[in-house]
Parts: sequence; structure tokens; C-alpha cells
Amino acid sequence: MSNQNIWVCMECVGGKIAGVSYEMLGAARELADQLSGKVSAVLLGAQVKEQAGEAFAYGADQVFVCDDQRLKDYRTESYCKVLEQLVREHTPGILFLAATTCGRDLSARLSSRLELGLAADCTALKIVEGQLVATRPTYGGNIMTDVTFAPTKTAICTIRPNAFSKAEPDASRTGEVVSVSLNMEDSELRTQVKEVLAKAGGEISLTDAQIIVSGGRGLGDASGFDLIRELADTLHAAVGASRAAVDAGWIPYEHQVGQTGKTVGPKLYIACGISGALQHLAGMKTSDVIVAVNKDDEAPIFSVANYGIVGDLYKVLPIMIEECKQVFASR
Amino acid sequence: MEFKYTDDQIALRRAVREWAQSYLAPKAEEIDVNNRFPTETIVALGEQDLMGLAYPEELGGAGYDAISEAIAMEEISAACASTGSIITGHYLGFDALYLAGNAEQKAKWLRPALEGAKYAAFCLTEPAGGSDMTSNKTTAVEDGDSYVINGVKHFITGGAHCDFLCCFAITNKEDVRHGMSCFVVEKGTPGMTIASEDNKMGIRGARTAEIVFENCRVPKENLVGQLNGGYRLALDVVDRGRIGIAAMSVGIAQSALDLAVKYAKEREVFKRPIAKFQGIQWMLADAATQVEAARMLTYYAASLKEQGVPFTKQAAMAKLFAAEASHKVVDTALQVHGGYGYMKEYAIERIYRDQRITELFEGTSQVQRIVIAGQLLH
Amino acid sequence: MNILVCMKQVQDNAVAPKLDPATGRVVTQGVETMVSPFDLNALEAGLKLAEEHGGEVSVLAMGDEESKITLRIGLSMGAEKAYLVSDPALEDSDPWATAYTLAKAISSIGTFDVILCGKQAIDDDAGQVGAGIAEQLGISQISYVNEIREATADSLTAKRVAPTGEEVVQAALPVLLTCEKSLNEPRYATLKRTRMANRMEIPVLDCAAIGADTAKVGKNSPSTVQKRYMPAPRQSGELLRGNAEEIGKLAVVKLVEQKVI
Repeated sequence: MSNQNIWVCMECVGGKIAGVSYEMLGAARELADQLSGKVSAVLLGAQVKEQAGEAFAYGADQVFVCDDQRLKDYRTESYCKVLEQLVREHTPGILFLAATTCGRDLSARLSSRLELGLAADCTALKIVEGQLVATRPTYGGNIMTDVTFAPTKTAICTIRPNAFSKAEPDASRTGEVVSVSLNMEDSELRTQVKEVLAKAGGEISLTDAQIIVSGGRGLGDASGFDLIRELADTLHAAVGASRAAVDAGWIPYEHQVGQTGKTVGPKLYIACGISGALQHLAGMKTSDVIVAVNKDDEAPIFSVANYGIVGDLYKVLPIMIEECKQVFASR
Repeated sequence: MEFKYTDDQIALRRAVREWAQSYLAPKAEEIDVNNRFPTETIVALGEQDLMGLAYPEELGGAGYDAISEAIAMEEISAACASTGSIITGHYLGFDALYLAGNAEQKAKWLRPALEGAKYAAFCLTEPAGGSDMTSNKTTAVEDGDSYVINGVKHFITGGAHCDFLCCFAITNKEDVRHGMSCFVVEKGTPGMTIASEDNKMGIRGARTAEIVFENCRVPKENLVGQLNGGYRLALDVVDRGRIGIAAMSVGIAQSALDLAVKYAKEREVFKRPIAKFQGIQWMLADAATQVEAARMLTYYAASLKEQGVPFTKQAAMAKLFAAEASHKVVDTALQVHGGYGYMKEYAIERIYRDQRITELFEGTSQVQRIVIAGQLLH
Repeated sequence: MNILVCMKQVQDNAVAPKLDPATGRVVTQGVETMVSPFDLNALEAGLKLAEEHGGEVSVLAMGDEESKITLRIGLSMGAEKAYLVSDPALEDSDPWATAYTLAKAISSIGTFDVILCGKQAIDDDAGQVGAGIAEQLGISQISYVNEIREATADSLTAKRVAPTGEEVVQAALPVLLTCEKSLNEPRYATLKRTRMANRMEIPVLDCAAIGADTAKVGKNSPSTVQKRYMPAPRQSGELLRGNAEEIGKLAVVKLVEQKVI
């Protein structure tokens, strides 16, 4: 890394700052305090200027804003162009982006363009002898890797959602807002976003969810997911699934958790009728609390579960749903 | 002598395993429970080039060697023993055409069979005669341009689902050994009816049928090989098929062993995996040795077949040994599972039932011993 | 339509990877290999595009001679040509250097309308190489593609996974796509092609042949893996057994205590 300044490229979706952005600011603030450096946020989008205050509240000292109608939808070329200019001009020590399908797309393009090292999907960060060491899971989380960077260049990391905690917001914090313009000819844009499709009504996405309820082969058939959904709705949770359930055609692939599905790390993961194949564990074992419901007390899922419920999920889940409802009603 | 797989054999094992584990294995339980012949699997076997794997490319086959065929059979049977039997039935079904068919017959039936467009069945066994073909009763009588077949065949794998079958019928009652002939009978030929399908203990997806021929008229051009040459032809076909059953046994045994090893590592008693107990270790070691010995004997017989030298004795030995080895291995594997192994939820329960056929069909173990003794003492 | 698919050979993910304490590297000896699964989706997409629009599919891998196994699987699934980039100087290349090298290789092989990669390899899990290649070649990219909507002579429209939904993106050709598993169901290798693939020549290209600067790759990459280690194992927790009513209620009590609900 070239200096002590840490930048956070805020993830905005539909003009709204995504939660992972605050987590990145939290991580950046902590490192910057160790290094006595500054935290800068980069806010790209359309009508995002007003949100600079949020970045300050969560730990930024400075905010670069590029507010341009052409940045309304994420596009690799336009976003990369702005960020490239900023990084070339200011050479931050460290740059964070979100490890989402946009942040990962953008970071990889930028890294390639500027010949900068990039550690993807980081779950821990530390400073050793003044240099950043980024920890990232590889082999589906079975092997952890510590990555270091060229000492005189910007180090880029994408940050896994839910891996870092955000700071308590302080509305009184302020700082410098720097406006940046997008210097790009329309002819440079070779892609076009034709359509933006939101998630089906009210459905919570797996990667954002604080709680996930997943079902596996032990459900027996597709209708078992009705019960999974009922518990998920009660807990405001997302619905996940094992590969076996997806392969059986009980639920679409986008719900698959695991090495060839999504990697998640929510506060609470409830695995129902999932035996716990290596590939599934790879996708969920960094969850804070894991609950497993399974008839077979030998199921490997129990080896990672904080609470292993040995029993018939069709009997246990309805009880849990009722209990949760009562807990929420009493609050 | 070199114990080394060829590049083709390595690539083939990988490709067949990949396909068998993802396509066949997930439906093994369902076809067993529903007693269902998986017609869709026939199409898929064709798409994978498995319907004529070890037959020459110029005839429509995939051009692999006999050891490759054994490897493929192992991998298929490890995923689903019923499918192992289904494909064996097909190979047996057209093999007479490959060995003795004329150019027209090869074009009409062998090529589509090898390419996967037609599924064949081997129609030899009768209620009164299995390994003892001299007790067969089905006859074919010349009548003008045709032969007219009368009789009953049973235990015919895929009989109700095949596109054609090679039917062995007596054409000279005076001397059956020199009086049997082979005829292609196509599906839907008047006079051929499926009397019933069997309700078997294992390999339930490989449905077998009882077929009745009642004045079933087939054109003379359907006679395969020499008139009255069918007895020898049937023996040759069965000889060649034995290696397939040996390989099927190896595949079944390997799958049982794999399940036992996995279970032994997972199942804990007295706070440690049962795999840590020497009692279990010795059971698994013995089972693994049985599998490997059966595999080697099978490959050896296949290599003799490939070299074009006599292999009757070694094929019978491979079939005998592999079938009995697989019996021991599935028994051990079920025992390692304890009471769970007796439950339908565990695949070993099905594999235990599927295995049993390997000691019965294509000649019982006792018949293999007769063949081996005959070779020793002649 | 000229199509190139990048494939990576990885270790079989059915077994947990182990580290060699002496070298700090992942043990590869005696471990089966597989094609990184998303690369098979990329290949399937390439084969379908070629079937629908004409043209042929080439496959490219970087690695040692062993990676020819993966390329031969590509050929046995339907690719027409295969190329291997192999050079001792490439060992320990980071994703930047890998993308740089593959881009150099692609430029030296020919010109392609569509280049496809998996969304990430399941060993490094970095997901950077696709976008990196696109940047090096100066072409557009659509990452995390789960549906190809339309391809014409000069553009391709695809649906990609966005952070909170999906979006449909149109790109001018040439374009690089990185592929999700839900994009398609990869076909199986057929056995006639498997045999044919074993008999095909696979050119092996080193850094000199493709004009890659060895001062930029391998140990000279912009990022370095300093250490690999196993994650701290999760402590296994409590097993709740007994009557469904009791354990169901107890579980909720525990979760409330833990403040997770």
C-alpha cells in the first residue's frame, strides 16, 4: 500500500446505500485509526449526493461524489472510468469495494487496468509492519489465505457482506465533500442496461439476509418448502436450500447455498433436513449461529451446529414457528 | 505384462462415472421402488455412446476395447445395478448379429443397436431350460419364405421394452446341439406376446418378461448365422457376456464398499468413528481385497477376449469369483451399517438385493464351476 | 461466431483440501481433479452459441501438463480446438497475472467474438480473471450471467445477477461473459468424442510464445499469498433430543438468549 489513506467505494443499489457499505466504513475506520490515516468514501450514482452525510456518520472523513444520470445503473465502463481517474489522481493506500456481483465486477476490471493487486471477498484485515494483510477464504472456505500487496501501490480488497461490523453512526460527524465529474463520451459505453428486474415481491435475498432458513433432501418433497417459507416469513428470513433440494427440482437454483451456490454468513442459519455435505458447509459455516434440525443424529451438519435438534422437522418446525410468533407478539 | 490403464480407459472411466453418478444414481431408488423399466435411460445410454461401446466404429460402435467395456459396466453398475443389467441384456441381445450376422442384417439391426437407436434383448432362457439349453422346447419350423416360431421364453431382460430380440429356437429336434437356430424377431411381430413381467427381489428396474410365441412368423432373412448353428452361437454369446456380469459384480461390490467406508468414518459409537475399531477395519480390508481380486480377474478375462485368444475358462472364473466376492462384500457392507443397513432409507439395502442376481443369471455359480471343470478336465 | 472458453482444472471438491505443513501449499498428490464447475457452464453456453449461430469453440487452460485432462474433457464435450498455456515462470501467479497471461494467449491464438469464463474457480474463489481478461483485451464484459437472451452479428444480450435482483445487459461484440451455474445444464462428454479427444494435439504455449512478460507474472504478481491455513474449526454445540414440542420450544428459548431473533 502506498499510504495510510483508506477508501471505500460505497455500494449503492437503486440510489440507496447498501448495508455492506457501512460495514466497509467500519473496517476502514478501524484500520485508519491504527495507521493514523484518513477514510474517504466514494459515492457513485444518480441522485446520491444527499447521502454523503450517511458516509460521514459511519466513519468517513471525506466523500468523493460523482452524481451523474449516466451512473443510475451500474455499468462496468462508466463506474470503472470514474474510479480509475480518482485512484490515478489520489493513489489511496487501500481501496475497498463490496464483494457483490457489482463490486467484484468493478474491482477486477479496475485492478486489471491499473495493474494493482486485489484480494477478493475478504473476511478479515490487519496491518502488519505498516502493510495490509487481507484474509480471504478459498476452497469454499476450507482454506484461509493471507494476501499481501506491492508496498508502493494501492491495495484493493472486496469485502464480504456480514463479515465486518459497522460503527455506531454519529450524525454529528461531517467532512469534506468533493464533487467529481464523469468524463466519458457516450461512444465509450459499449454496454447498455436494458431492464432491471427486482426480486419477486417481498423476497429477501440470501446474501443480504440476517437470518436464513434452509431446506434439504430431508424435506422429502417440494411441498416441504411451504413449511420452510412459513418459518422464514415468521423470522423475516431468506429461504435457502441444499444442492440436493435444488437438483431434485424442489426450489430454483438461486436459493442454493454452498460451494456452487451462494456463500452466506448470516447471524442465524437454520438448516432443516440438510445432512451437511462438504459443499453445503462451505457455503454457510461462517454463520454466527447455526441451528440444524435432522432426524439422523449422525448427520455431519451437527458438527458445525451450535444447536442440533435431533428430531422430525415436520414436528419440530411448527412448534418453533408458534413459539417465535409468541416471542414476537410479546415484544 | 503391464498393469496400466490406457489414456482411453482413464478418460472413459472418468466420463462414465461422471454421467452414471449424476444421471443413473439419483434414479436407482425410484426404479427399484416402482419396479419400472427406465425407457428414458435407453435413450441416454445411446447419447453417451454406451450402447455399442466396445464394437468397431465402422459398424456404429464407439471403438473401445474389452477392458474399457468392463470399466464402463463397473461404473454403471456402481451407480445403478439395474442399468448394468439392462445394458448387459442389450449387448447379449445383438451379439449374435455381430458374431454371425450378414451385411444386410448388420445394417438393419446391428448398426442401430450399436448407435443406440434400437434396444435389443437376448431370448434364450425357457421355463424348462436355463443353462441346459438341450431342454429348451421352443421350435422354429420352415414354412415357405418364413420360419414359424412356437414356444415360451422367460426371464427375458428388457423383453417387453426391446425393439428386437434374438430368439433361439430348435430347428432340428433330433439333435438339439446341432439343431438350434437364431432368429431376429422384431417388436410387434404378430404371434409374439408379452405374457407377464416378473416381480423380482433385486435389479427391479431391469424388468424381465415371459414371452409367448404362438405361430409367430418371421421372414427367412431373419435367420442369424447358419441354420442349426444356433447352439454354438448361443454359447459364444454367453461366454462373451460373462465378463460383463463379472464387471457388473465388481461395480456393485465397489459401491457397497464405498458406502461402508463412508459410513464407518461417519458413524460414532463410544465417542469415536467405528472406522477406528480394528474389528471394522479388518472387515473393510477383506472386502477391499475381494473387490480388487475380482476386478483383476475380470480385466484379465477381458484382455484375453481383446487379444482374440480363448477365454472361456477365465470368463467363467471371473464371473464366478466376482459374483461370490460381491456377495461377501455387500454382506460385509450391510453389517458395517448395523441396523440402519436393513432400512430402505439406506442404499445398501437395495444393493444387497441387487447383488444376488449376479450369482444366478448368465449361469449360476454352480454352472460356472461346471464350465471351469470342463475346461480343466477335457 | 468464434468462441473461446477458459477452463481451469481444480481439485475434486468432494474431499476436503489438506495443507502440506512443509510447503504450506494445498496437497495435490493423490487427489482427484475436476473441471471447475462454472467453467462447464461457460463451455455449455459456448457450444450452444456455436450450434445456433455457427462457428467453433476453442478451449484454453493455464497450468501444467496435467491440465490437458481438463482440455480433453472440453474437447469431448464438443470443443474443436484446445490450447494450454504452461510455463514454470507462471507458478504462483495471482489473478491479475493469470488474466494478463490468458489475455496474451488469446490474442496470440486468434480473434474471438465471445469469450466465456466461469464466474469463479472453486479453488481460489477469486472471480477476477474473467473481468481481467476483458480489460486486457479492451472488450466489454457481462459478469455473473444466468441467461443468454439474444446474440446477433454484433451484439449479445444477457441477464446477470445483480446485488438485489437481476438486470438485462446488452453488449457490443466482442464480449466476455462470466457464467453462473443456473445458466444451463452442461452436457456430458460422449464416449466417441472422448476417444477422439485423446488423439488430438494440444499446442502448449509458453510465455515467450504468447508475448507475456515474465517480469509481470508468477512470483512478480501484484499480490502474493503469504500464508495458507485451515480455518479455526467451529465448536460443535449442544444436541437437543427428546419430545418435539419440548425441543422446539427449547430451541427458540436458546435463540432468544443468544439475541439472534
